[in-house]
Amino acid sequence: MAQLSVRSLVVSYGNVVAVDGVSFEAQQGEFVSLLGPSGCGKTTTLRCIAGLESASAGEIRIGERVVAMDGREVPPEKRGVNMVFQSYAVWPHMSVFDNVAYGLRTQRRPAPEVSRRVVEALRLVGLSGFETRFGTELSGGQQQRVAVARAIVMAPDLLLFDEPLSNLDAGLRERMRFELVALQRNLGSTSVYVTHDQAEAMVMSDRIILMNQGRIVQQGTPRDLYERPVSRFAAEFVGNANLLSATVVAEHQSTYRTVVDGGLALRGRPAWADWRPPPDDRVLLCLRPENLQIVPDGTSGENVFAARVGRVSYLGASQTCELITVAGTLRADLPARSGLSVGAEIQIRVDPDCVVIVPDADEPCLV
Amino acid sequence: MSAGIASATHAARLPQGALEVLAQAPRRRLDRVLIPAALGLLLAALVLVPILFMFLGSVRSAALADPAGHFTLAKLAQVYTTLPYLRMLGYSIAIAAFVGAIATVVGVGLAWLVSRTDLPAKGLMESAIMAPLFLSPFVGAIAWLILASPRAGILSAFSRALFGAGAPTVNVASLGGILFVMTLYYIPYAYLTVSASLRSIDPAMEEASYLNGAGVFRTVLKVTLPVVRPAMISAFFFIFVLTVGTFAIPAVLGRGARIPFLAVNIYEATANYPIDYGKSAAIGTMLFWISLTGVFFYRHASRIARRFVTVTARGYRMRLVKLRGARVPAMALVGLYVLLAIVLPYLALIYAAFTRFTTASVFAAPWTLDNVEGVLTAPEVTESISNTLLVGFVTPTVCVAFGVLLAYAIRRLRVAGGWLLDYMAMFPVAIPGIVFGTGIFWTYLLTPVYGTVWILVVAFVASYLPFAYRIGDTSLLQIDRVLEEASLLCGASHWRTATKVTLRLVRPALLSAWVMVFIFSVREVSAAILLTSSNNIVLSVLSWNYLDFGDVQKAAVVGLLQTAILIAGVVVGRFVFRVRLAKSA
Repeated sequence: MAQLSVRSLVVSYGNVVAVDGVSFEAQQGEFVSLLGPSGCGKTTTLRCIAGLESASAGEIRIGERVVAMDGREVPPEKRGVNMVFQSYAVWPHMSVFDNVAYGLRTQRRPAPEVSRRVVEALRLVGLSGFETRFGTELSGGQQQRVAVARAIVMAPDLLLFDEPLSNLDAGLRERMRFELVALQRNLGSTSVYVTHDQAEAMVMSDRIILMNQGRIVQQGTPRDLYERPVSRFAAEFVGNANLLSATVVAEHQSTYRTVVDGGLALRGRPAWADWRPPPDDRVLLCLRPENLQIVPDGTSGENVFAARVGRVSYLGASQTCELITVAGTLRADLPARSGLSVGAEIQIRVDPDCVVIVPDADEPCLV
Repeated sequence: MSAGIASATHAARLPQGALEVLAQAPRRRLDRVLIPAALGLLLAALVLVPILFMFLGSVRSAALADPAGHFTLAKLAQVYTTLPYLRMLGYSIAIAAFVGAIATVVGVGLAWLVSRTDLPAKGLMESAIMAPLFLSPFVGAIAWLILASPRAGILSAFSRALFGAGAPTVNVASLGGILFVMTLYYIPYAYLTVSASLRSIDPAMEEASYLNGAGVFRTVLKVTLPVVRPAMISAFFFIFVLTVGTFAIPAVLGRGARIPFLAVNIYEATANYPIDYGKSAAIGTMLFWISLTGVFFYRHASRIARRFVTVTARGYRMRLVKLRGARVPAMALVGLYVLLAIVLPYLALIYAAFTRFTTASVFAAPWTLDNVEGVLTAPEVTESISNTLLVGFVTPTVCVAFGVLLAYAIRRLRVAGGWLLDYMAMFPVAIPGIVFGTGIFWTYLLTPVYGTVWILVVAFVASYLPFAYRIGDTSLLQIDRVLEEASLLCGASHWRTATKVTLRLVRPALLSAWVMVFIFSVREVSAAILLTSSNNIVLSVLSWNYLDFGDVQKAAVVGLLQTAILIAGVVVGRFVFRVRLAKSA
C-alpha cells in the first residue's frame, strides 16, 4: 500500500491549467522530489496534497484514506500531513517552544508529554536551548529549523516541503540538505519535497518526479534521470547536456548507429529499453560533458572523432572547455591535469553506452 | 619633470563641461539650504502658527482685537481644574474609547469575513462597507434625527402604527444615539486598517495552524487575531482621536440631552451667550493634548504592526474558509450595516426633502418639490454651492501640490532638515478640525482674509496636508530610483526628470489623493463652523444653520445636495481619472 497516491490530478483557474493530469505514488519511507522550473505546477500539486488548494479533478489518497476526490475533500487539519513552508511561517507572537507545541496542544496532550516531545524535536533539529526565544529573534536558518521541528513533532503520515531551503545562503543550504535527509531517514516519514534546484533533488531524493508545464515529464531515481533522460527538456534540466540532432541508420544488438548533422557517425543506445527508433527517424543524441574523453592522437575506431580546443575554464577539480567539432561546438568536462591549450587538435571518444538517444519531440511518449 | 607633463596631460583630458559642473557646486549648496528653509517657513506659518496663537488665546481674557483684553490664567484654570469641565473631559474620553472599541471589533469581524472567507460578491461587499467613508457623517446624523426622534421620527411612526400609541420609541438624540451614529460611521476606518493588515501578513501562518490540526475558530483565536492585534490597536487609537475631535454629530444629536462634549463646547463658547473666545481656546488646548497622546499611541502601534508585514512572492491562492451555513447570516450582517449606515438614512433624507411631512401624517404625506425649489432658489444656497465648489477645488489642488513638493524635496533632493519638515507636515494629524478652526480664528482675526472663503481654504489645506504628503511620500518611495537615474544618464536635467518621469509615475496616487481631499473639504464642518461669516458659508455650515433654526427639511435638502456633489466627485474620479480610491485610502 503506497503511503501517498495521486491520480489524474487536475488544477485549473479559469482558462489557466496549472496541473494537467498528474499521477504518481510515494511508498512508505520514501523521499520523493517534485522537480521543475517555475510555473511547472509542482507547488500547486504539493498544496493540493496538503489540502490548501482545491483540485478541479482527480483523486488523492493518503494511506488507505481518500482525502480528495472529484471536488469533495478533507480539510487540511484532518489529513494528518504537515508542511515546511518556504517562508517558514514561524508565528512571531509565540516562543519557539509554543510554536512547536501548538499542534500537540491542539490535540490536548498532557503537558509532560508535550514538553518531552517538543524538547526531543528541537534536539533533532539542533535547537536545544532555544525554547524561550521568539520567532523574530532568530536567524533565517534557525527559523527554518523551528519550522521543521514543528512539522515533525506530530509524527505525520506525510511530510511536505515547499522549497524550504531557497531563502538560505548557499553554504547553509548545502549543510541543511544533508541534515534534512538524515532526519527523514531517522524518522522514516514519507516525504514529498518541492524544489527547482536539480542538484538539491539529486542529492536528497530516492526518486525524482520531473515536471514541466503542469505535466510529469519523467519519474525515476536520480541516476535514471541523469543517465537516461527521455526528452530534450529532461536532458537539459538535469545536469548539463550536449544535444545533437541526428538520423538513425541501423540497429545492432539494441544499440543504434546514427549520423549526426554534419556527418559524424556515433553509436548509442536509446533512453529506455522498449523504444526502437526506426531507420531515418530524427532523434537527439545526449552527450554528458564528463563522458567526452581525450584519447591519444591516431586512435581510430567507433565513436572517435577530432576536435579543436576552444575556450578553457579552470574550475579547480576539473576543466570545462569548448570543443569545436564537425558536429558543432560541444562542452566537455575534462580532468584538471589534462594539459590542454587553446587551439590544440585532439581526439575525443565517447563510450556508446554514454550516448543516449532521446526522442526529438516536445512531448515525451512515456509515463 | 615627467609628473608635470603627466598632470598637464590630465588637465587636457578633463571633459568639456567639467568647469561648468564645478561652477554649479555653490548653487547646489544653496538649493540644499534655501529650499528647505522656504518650505519650512511655509509649513510653520500654515501649521504651527495657528496652534501657537490658540495657546496665546487661552491666556487672554478677550479676543486679540479687543483693546480691553489682558493676560489671565483664569480660563485655563477653569477648564483644567473645575468639576464641570473635568466631567466633560471624562465624558469625551469615555465616548471616544467606547466608539473606538466597538467600531474596531465590528471592523475586524467584517475585514475577516471579506478577506478570509468565501463570502460571495466580495467587491460589492467591500465597496458597501467603505461607502460611508465618502459620505458625510454629519448628513448621516441629520438623517438619523429624521428617522429616530421620539415623536416625529419615521421609525417611531412605524412603531406607533404597529404597536399603538404607547409603543416603544427609539430616541437617537441621546447618549446612546451619539454612540450609535459615531460608531456606525467610523467602522470603515477600522475595516480599512485591519483589512490592509490581513492582506499583508504571510498566509502560511494560518495554513501552518490548519496543518497542525487546529480548526477555523482556534486558528482565528490563536494565530490570526494576535498577529493582527497591533493593527487593531492602531485602528482603535485612530478612531479615538477622530471621535474626541468630532463636533458635528454630538452637536446635532446631543443638544437636547445636553451631553457634555469638549468639541461641542468649543463651538458653544463662541456662538452662545456669554461669548468667551478665551475659554474656547483653553478647551482647544485640552483637546490638543488628548489628541496628541492618542496619536502617539497610534503611531507606536502602527510601527509594531509594520513589523509583522511579510512581503513574500505569493503566486498561490490562499485557502479561504468555507462559510457554508454561515454564508447567509454573514451576508445579512454586511447587509444590516449597509442598511443602517446608508439605506435607511438616505431614504429618510429623500423622504424629508420631497414630502411635506408632519408629525401627524408621516405615511400619508404628499410628495412635493416645494422644499427642493425653496432651497435651490434661496440666494444663500446658490452662494454656498459656489463657495463649497471653490473650496472643494482649490484645497485639494494646493494640498496635493504642496504635499508632493515636500515629499520630493525630502525624499529625492534630500534637503537638510528633512526630518523636521516631515514632522511638521504630519503634525496636523494630531489636531482635530475644531481645534484647528480655533487656532486659525485666533491667528487671522485681524487680517483681511478673515471672513472670506480663503480662510477656509487655509484651514482645510493645513488640516489635510498630512494626508496628501503621506500619499505623495509613499508613492515616491515605491518608484525605484534607477528609473530617474536612467533619465539623468540620457542627459535630462533634474527638473525634466521630475516632470517627465517621476511625476508621471506618481500621478495615479496623486489623483486619488486629490479626490479624497476633495471629499474631505466638501463635507468638513468642524473647521468651517468657527470661521463662518456671511461671506463664506459652505453647504455643511448652511445645513447646520437650518438645523439650528429647526428647519429639518431644508437641512435634509442641503444634505442631499452635498451628497450629490460628493458622489459626483467619486464618480468622475473613478471613471474619468481611473482613480482607485480603495487602495489609497
